[in-house]
Amino acid sequence: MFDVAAFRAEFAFFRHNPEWVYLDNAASTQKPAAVLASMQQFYAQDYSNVHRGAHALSQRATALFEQARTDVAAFFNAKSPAEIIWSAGATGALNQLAFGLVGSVLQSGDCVLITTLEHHANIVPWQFHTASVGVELAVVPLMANHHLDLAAYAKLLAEKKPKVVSFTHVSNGLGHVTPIHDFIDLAKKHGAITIVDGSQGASYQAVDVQALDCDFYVCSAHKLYGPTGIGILYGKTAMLEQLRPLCYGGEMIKQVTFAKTTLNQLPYRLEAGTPNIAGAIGFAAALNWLSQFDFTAMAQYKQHLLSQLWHGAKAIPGVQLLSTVENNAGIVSLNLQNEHPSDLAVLLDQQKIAVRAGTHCAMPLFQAIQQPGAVRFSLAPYTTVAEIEQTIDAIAAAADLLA
Amino acid sequence: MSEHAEQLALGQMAFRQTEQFIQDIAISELAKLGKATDWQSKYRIIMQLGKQLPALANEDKTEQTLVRGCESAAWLLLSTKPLRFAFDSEARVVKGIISLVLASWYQQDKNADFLQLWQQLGLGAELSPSRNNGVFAVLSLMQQAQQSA
Repeated sequence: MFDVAAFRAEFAFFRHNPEWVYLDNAASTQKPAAVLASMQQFYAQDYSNVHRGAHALSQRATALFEQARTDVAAFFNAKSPAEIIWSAGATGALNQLAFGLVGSVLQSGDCVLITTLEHHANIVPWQFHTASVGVELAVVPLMANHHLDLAAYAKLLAEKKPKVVSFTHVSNGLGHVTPIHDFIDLAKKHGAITIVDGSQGASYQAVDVQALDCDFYVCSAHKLYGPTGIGILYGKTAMLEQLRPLCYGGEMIKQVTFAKTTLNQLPYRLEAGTPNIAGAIGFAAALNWLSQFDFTAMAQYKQHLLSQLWHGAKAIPGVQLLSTVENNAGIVSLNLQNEHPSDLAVLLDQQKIAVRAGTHCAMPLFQAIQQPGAVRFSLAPYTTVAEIEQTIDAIAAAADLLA
Repeated sequence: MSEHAEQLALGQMAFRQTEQFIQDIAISELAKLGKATDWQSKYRIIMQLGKQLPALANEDKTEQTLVRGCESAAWLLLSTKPLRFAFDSEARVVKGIISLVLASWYQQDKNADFLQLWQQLGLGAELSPSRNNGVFAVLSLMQQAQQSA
């Protein structure tokens, strides 16, 4: 049984903001004490730059930084720490992938397959980095229930023969979970490289990259209780070797002359400049902290909250649910009939319910489902049953006011 | 002003409709807003005004009149000589608040600052002037028109 009170007590934010109901977790989660303490300790006691100092302090900072990489690799069950590349976040990682695959994998006339559910971060880098060299972008459509159409996906794989398939683990706009095992297996049968955007997925279930057998998996720390400005690009070693670096300079280099530069080995080859050292340490602390909790029990609890919110909202006249309650990682997106999402969001804000309204950096998704956007309620395991009740009442009050 | 070309020929009807709405309805609602004590009463006034504001004709909602930088789309027609406005938005909250600011402006010196009038309504604090805020974007354009009038 998941102890929500104990879990919630780890977050000072709720003590400082007792009047707020925070349901914007898909945008970013709050930070537990363990993360804050790890970063405070690093800056206060152990701080130095990494990898280049002749002094023991730098060696100590380097050891902490590399231990963070080892811890993150263990959490995601990567084969080796060198398969974990630090990035600025999922967006940075996806940009590195789109740019980095050009030439070695993607050439003019090739196809990259994405889906209708994608965040702009998994659409726009392909348009800017690969479309310019003549790479076509194909898109997996949705079914009527706003979930991905697996049959259409299989057909597109056969027809378009994409070199790369890049899809989200969980939709940030709706919470819908992609059948990633089927997606990866089918892509492999067609010889495509697989990229999973785990921005919303890594907090939904414990991710084992070896069991998934995807080629790349990316996520941001700040949606997983860690600090902002850091994330990972996981890749199988042979796959990472194929990437052309997006940035140059710093520790990624082995030798420089004015005539020629030789690049360092992985993972440093893809990490130009002084890395986000405290961020990496904070992210590892978040994952080490998270590991003490039972992911299955947490997911069950979140599912219970989701069901409560979904059914509660459904009972309010005029509410139009865009998310299903099945195969959902913990997001309810909805609109009030004939009302713009920003009107509902303003009235929820007045009632101290923190949600996001709009198109959630997924404009093509909302074009596909013909909605002007949506109000998104995104849950976390620290959300309480009482908060969901308060939220349902607040939606009803807003609907009444707009009627 | 360059992006918001004066659309006098098209806009006359819209200006008249808007002015009539402000005079007939928004000014009395503004008085009620002053007496409202809780957020529900305030926002009921805003949302009802937002519902009642006459919509702009489709031919007035053009690329030229679209106000950029809002989460919800908004359109603004303006003339500088004399200074006149007509507006519309997908969001009722934007329409309601702009109506109240205009109602307040009608009762004051024509040089009164739109953003200050908004602050004085006691609704500015809740809606920060972030770049996604349609109210801020529309009032800023109205202010520019005022300065070039």
